[in-house]
Amino acid sequence: MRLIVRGSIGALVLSLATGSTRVCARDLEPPVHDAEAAPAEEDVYEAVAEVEAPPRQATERKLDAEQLARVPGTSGDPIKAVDVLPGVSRSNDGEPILRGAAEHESTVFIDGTRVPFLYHFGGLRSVVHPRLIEQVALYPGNFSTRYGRATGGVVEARLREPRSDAWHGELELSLLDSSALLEGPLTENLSFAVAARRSNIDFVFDSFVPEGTFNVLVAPVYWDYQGQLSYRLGQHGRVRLSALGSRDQTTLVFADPSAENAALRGDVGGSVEFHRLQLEYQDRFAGVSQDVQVSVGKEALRQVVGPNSQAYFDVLDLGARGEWTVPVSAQVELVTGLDVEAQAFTGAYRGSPAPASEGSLDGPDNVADQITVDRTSFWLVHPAAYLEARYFPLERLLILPGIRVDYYEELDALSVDPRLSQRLTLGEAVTLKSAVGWYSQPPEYYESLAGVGNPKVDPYHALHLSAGAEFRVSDALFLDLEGFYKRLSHRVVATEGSVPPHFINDGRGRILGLEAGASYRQHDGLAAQFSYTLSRSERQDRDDPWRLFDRDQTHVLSLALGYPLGAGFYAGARFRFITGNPVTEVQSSSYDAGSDVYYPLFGKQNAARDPAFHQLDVRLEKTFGIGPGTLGVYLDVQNVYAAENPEGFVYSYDYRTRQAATGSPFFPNLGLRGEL
Amino acid sequence: MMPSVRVRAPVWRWRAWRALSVLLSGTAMPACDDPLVDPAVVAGPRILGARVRALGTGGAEPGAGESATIDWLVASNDSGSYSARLLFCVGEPTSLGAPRCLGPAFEERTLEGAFGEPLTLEFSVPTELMPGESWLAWFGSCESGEVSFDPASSEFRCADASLSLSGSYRGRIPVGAPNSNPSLVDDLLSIDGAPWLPSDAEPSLGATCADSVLPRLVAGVAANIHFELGGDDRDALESTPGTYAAHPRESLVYTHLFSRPGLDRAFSAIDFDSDALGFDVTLQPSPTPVPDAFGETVELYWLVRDERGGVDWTRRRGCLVPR
Repeated sequence: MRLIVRGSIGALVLSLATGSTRVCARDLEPPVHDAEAAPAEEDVYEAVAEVEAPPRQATERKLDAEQLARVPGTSGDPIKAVDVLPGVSRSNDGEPILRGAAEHESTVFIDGTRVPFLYHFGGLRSVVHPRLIEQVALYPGNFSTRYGRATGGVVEARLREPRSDAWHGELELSLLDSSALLEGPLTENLSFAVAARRSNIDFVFDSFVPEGTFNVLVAPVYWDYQGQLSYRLGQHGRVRLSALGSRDQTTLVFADPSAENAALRGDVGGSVEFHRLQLEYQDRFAGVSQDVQVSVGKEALRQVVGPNSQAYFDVLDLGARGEWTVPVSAQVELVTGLDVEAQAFTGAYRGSPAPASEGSLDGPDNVADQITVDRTSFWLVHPAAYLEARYFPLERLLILPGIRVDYYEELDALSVDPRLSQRLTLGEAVTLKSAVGWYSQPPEYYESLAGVGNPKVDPYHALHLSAGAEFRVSDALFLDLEGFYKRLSHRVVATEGSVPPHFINDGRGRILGLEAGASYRQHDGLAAQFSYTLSRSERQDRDDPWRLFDRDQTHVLSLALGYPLGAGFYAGARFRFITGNPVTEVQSSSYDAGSDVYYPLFGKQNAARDPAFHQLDVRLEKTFGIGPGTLGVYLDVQNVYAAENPEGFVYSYDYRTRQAATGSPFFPNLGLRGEL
Repeated sequence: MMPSVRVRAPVWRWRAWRALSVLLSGTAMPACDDPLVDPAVVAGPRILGARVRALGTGGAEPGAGESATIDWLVASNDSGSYSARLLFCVGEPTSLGAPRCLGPAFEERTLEGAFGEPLTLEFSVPTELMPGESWLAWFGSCESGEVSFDPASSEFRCADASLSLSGSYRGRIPVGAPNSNPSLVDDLLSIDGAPWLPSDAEPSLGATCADSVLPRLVAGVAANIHFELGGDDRDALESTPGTYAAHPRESLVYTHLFSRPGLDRAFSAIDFDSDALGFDVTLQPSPTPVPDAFGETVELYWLVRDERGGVDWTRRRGCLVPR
């Protein structure tokens, strides 16, 4: 056994070269010496090692929050930094696009609980205080049976344990938001953490909006909170109560109808929020590990777009997850679990019919086509059970067969998803990996809602295949190369013109790609993360010709560098180059004389592309030690050279002239953080 | 002039948690060098509206088997005439995107029209249509050459690819409260406090007008147009008690267009819940190109829609003089 020591005592991390297994040791305690005795020549330190379980899937890309928090362009937000990893495409609204899957086909978990959205205002900030995040794990495909109801990939953020050594606090103030964090021990075994954040945008927003544009403007406001109570039960056990919530809100009140869209008048805006309360219990009895979680939560949506479009939905979220790991022999370990999600929707809607969740072509909201869904209540109940084995037929070969069964109560449909992954370690440095699996996903809630969608629509499926290799070239350098292929079947697509029944299972998809990643971490030195994804993602709706996926990005290249300059200075840079998204050209338009709107008449769908996206972000940070605490000042500059990065077009009222819509502007975010 | 906000359509997403971000990301302030054409300007041949009148009831929604007329209003920044293909078909039950024909046209005609004057055609709604089903009226015109209509794609084509205008009007077999066309006849349109009335002896668009009785507009100088409803045209709407976001009556949406740049916006509204029955629009005619020293006749089109297919329009002419 070879131990490689990194870091200093007190925050010691040991890496153990046992293939892919990693061992972490914390809270090292020096031996207690008799004051009278002469000190030993060589002290033997004792540590409790937390051994990470073997992988649950062929490909796991995990990054510690400390690494992610310094990625430039993210304002220190670890979750926003996942796009430095291979397999992650650039998203327009913050939700992850993993291996050519649509945003709604991937799932986001925070501490095992699914959350409805991960970012404020579609990517501005994640909804969790960055300092509470321990790790962000990305499973871009071929994920374990632990996860279901998704045909794309999984992002899971793990919150760290509250610190138990002493009370700590942190205050942060930046142009974007202000936040506070407080944590510490309450008793020997009980510790807590609370954090809250609120945006500052409304304090500076007025300077961006010309005076007189609106009668009333309530600038975008977001806030979030997290709380944790963690109680240690002996050596292996833990009970943790967590709460988290988030809210985004904005309102515009138009003095007169918009210059180009008569439907846009009066109030425009709304709010989205969610709250979660989660109780988690982890322990081990007779070698059997168990992890049980129950959660209850609420989501609320309010929206209004002029007098003709408004909606509200309140959702009660219930979740329960139990997982038991049973060692059967030296070679076999079984993992079985139950995963139940239930949602009670209550809401009403007046507005345009629902477009397809992917592949719909933008057109005007026509008041003549509006629908009304009166106050309606319905449940979505999705119980699931899974079983998987970790089988080591050889010392260096790990095989992970698994099966997951999901039931979709509202559809009265069942899906059975078999999955198989393997990892073979060759020598000290090389691991070969491959996987095949079947994945199922229910339609979006509205796609099966009577009056809006088709109650007879079924779940849809994806076949995932992947194969690759990982190379640990040195302690500092890690390389990852993987190819993948996915075939989507039974996709839910809109009927042409959204004629009843509005949605049908008549779509297909195929995705092929190659991912390459390299990470270099020199102790107290250079840190670099390189990723490149080459892929092609296509869809077929009904009998239409195959087309590119709306967010197909052939090349996704990212390079992030960070370097401690000394004297408390840290500098970082991130560069991204990404193929532009497909666009559908408008060839002409047709006027609806009854409603006074123009319908665009499109050319071949997704046959053109936006120009390539490229952006450089830099971050400079200086940390001062002040007494027992630290004070950090950072400047995080997004889009340093102000690349325009056009994304689609804004058209004139009649679609005869157009203007490129520019992407994220140059934005310097100056922040101050005090930590105790 | 008040800056405008441009919002990319659609602003609504059913995936609720994405909606706000889409709304915000789609909201943009047009730049000073905004290259997009102004919707409030009639810069060339343009369909401004279509109005249907049932011959029996005079309502805006003829029933199955009923005869009706449709008036197409096509305007331009110049006086002149055009040739158009008009046809009717049964509509597919689409609810997103451009309307489409369910089958071949049941009535088809080519007519000559004059810009600014209604082009009227009488037709009969098919008897087999059920309440709620739709019929479509189509208008197509080519700059030159023959215009034809492809029912499968529901698009017009020109022999020489010179399609200049195409539009449709979707009528539905009535369900619920009857719909009548709103009327502008009894409403008041004034400019700088003086009633702005149509005249029998108006010079044609673009003609000199120094000797006319048309109200004077000065290039580059703002004038206030005030509109006041004479009688409330907002028809009562039927709705079941408890219906979500039900409107007790119609909203009226006004489109105002001018033959050169200068209107501060193209749309106004008197919503169902509005107590104010009037509004103001600012007209500051562009000083370029410089109008004729003897005045140049300009046009204002004023249309009202009740958001259920009911339409009316009126036209006012003014005499634009250099500053």
